[in-house]
This record gives sequence, C-alpha cells and structure tokens, in this order.
Amino acid sequence: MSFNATDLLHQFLLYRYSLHNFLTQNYYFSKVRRVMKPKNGFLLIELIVGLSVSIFFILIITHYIIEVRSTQQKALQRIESFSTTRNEKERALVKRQSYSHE
Amino acid sequence: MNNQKGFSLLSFLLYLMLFSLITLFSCHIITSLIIPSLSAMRKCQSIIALHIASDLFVRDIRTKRGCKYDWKLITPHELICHQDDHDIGWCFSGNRLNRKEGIYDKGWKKSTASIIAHGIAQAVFAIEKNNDHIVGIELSLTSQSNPKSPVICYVAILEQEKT
Repeated sequence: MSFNATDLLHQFLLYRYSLHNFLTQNYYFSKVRRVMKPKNGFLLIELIVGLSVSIFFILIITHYIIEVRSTQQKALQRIESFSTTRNEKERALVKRQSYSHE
Repeated sequence: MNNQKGFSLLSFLLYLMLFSLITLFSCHIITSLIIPSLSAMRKCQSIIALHIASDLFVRDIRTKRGCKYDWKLITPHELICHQDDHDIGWCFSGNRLNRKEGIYDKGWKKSTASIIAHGIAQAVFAIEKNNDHIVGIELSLTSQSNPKSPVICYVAILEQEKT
C-alpha cells in the first residue's frame, strides 16, 4: 500500500471541506439544508490546533536536548573524576620513586 | 437564519491572544532552554575530546615505561623521544595537538602525523625534574570554546631512561 503527496493533499482537502461545513454551516443538525460552498483559506480553529501541535513538537525536542545535555554532563563528571584519580596516582608513583632514591 | 460571514471582534481578540500566548511560549522555550542547552553540549563535547586526547598522551608515555628511550627535544609546545629505531613526537601547532612518528634529525625527515585533537587554544608540556632526571610530564590543554577550565593530565616517567 503506497501513498503519494497528491493523494494525501486530496484527503486533507476533503477533510477540511467536511470540517468546515460541520463547524460553520451545521449541515448535519440544521433543519434547513443550505448549499455547500467551497472554502478558500483556513479556519482559525485549524490554525490554533496547528500551533498547538507545533509547540508540542518543540517541547518534545527540548526535552530530548535537555536529556542529552544531562547525560553528557554526568559522563563528563565521571571522566573528570577518573582523570583526577589517575593524576593523583601518577604523582604518588613519582613521590614513591623519589623517596626510594633518597 | 442569519448567514454570518467573517468573525466578530471578540472572537478575533480571543484567538489573537491565544496565538500570541502560544508564540510567546515557544519563543521562550527556544531562547531559555534550547540555545543554552546546545551551547552547553558543545562545551561538554570539546572538554570530553580534550580528555580523550590527554588519555592518548598518557597511554603513549606509559607504554614506554618498559623500554629504553631518550628525549631528543623538550619544549613547552613539543616533545620528541627516541625509541628503538624511530622517534615519537607530540606537538601543538595551529590549534591542533599532533602526534608524529618517524625519523627526527633537527627536523622531521620522514614522518606520519596524526591529529589527536583540534580546536585547542593552548597546550603546554611541563617537565618535572628530580636530581636532573625527568620524573614526570604534565600536559595542560585549553579548549577554544571553554578557555576558563583547562584539562590537566600528569604522567610519571619511571627508571628505564637511557641517559
């Protein structure tokens, strides 16, 4: 089963057409049937839903970036502690060697 | 039935307020969370890269502990030691820390170079001596993106020196 961009656009336009009629003309519940009109542009409710979805994605991306940052900082802390331990061990080795010479 | 076209001023203001709030919230998230997080990640990556470079340096010096070698050149920006039939050098040039291996005779005659780290603002090799013998080397690496906290590593040199 395959979709191309034209099919998806066609489905989206059909959805918008039916949503517009349902919300504005109350086609299904009205006693008076009116003539369905094609609509240009977009609804305010569609715009606000789109904005909400986009902010949801921004929140997900932000959460991902903050998780990566905290993981990196934990890794860096471990690396720094290992490095400090190794430096101390090497300095102790030099001291032991110099004491053995004396 | 009243066939209404357009929308009222009240609904327009309500939607405008909602759009403004959402846009303001998204801009606030981007400026206060995403941009500082990305810069912190970049700093963190550069410091981790410096630690990896210092690990390679320490490992290279440690592998010489069981062998006979002597130092050919010791400067704050370059170290060259002779081991068996080849020379190994560590040098800082052009914001990079390089490791060279080959034949050195007042200059590299034949060498292969490896870039160990880049984006380095300063790299200094400091020698610690005891009774005219080199007992340890300290390498201090400062990143360009985080100049305030240099990465310092120290490695001991044990007795097997020729000189």
